[in-house]
Amino acid sequence: MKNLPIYMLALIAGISLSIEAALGGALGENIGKLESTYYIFVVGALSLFLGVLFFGKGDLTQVFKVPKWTLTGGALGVIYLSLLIISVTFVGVGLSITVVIIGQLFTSIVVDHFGWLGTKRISIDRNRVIAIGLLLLALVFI
Amino acid sequence: MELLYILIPLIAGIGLSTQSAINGTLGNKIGSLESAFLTFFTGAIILTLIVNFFGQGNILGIVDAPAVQLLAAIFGVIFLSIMPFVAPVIGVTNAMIMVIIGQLLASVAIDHFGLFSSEVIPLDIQKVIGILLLIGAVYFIFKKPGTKEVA
Repeated sequence: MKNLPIYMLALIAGISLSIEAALGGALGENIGKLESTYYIFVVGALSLFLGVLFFGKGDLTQVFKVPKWTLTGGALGVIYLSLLIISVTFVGVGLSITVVIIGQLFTSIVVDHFGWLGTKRISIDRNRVIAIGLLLLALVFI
Repeated sequence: MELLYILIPLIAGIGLSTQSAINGTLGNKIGSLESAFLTFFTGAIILTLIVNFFGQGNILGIVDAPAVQLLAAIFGVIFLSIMPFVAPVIGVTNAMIMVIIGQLLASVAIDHFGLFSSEVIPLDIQKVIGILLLIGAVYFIFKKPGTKEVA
């Protein structure tokens, strides 16, 4: 249980993601969907620039030395948000979110299990399979 | 053709988990805030091009948009600042399960209260069952075989 605060942080991250989607979606109705995503990235970059400047404990200059594939997070963020927007217009919000979550879970299990992308290897165990099963069942009800 | 449409959100989900794993690795080297900054920074550059070529809206409309909608960016910052810190400690899967639970709980709350000028969709018995199942999922994440801690 020593990691409980970390789990709570992850929960807050998820809550933030939903609020971002709700607010960003509403903003998209006003200024356009791609523009809404663009606005989020620009303001995010600017405010985090201040964050790094004042509170950053890392070393940004390492960015020139790390393997290039570790810098693809931004492109993946754009892919995620753009595909989500496109998908909603084709199959609706409910089905989109459900399939996104299935994609999230499947990928994270595989990544953890094999320790891909520089992560620590964490094998699948029975409890996790049960947790994911319950989660998918919850998805059907919500 | 139907199947092709399903692939779109599937790739989106794969992208989000992959991003969390990669940013976790990057965050270990350059710091969590720094990793989040780079994600927004490179994303903004890519989107500058995309919006220029494919954008059909009006970015200047933000001046007239309700101020609360502009907070969307702050919540994106919270998500991307937390993930590189969290994922390497508890693993991508556990992090994602907590994220998804947070997403589902928040969206039920947003619907129920009609927050952020969304349509009011009240809590019903089905959703309550769904929430109980989520709590069950959390129980199994914390239930470790024996006393062995993964971290």
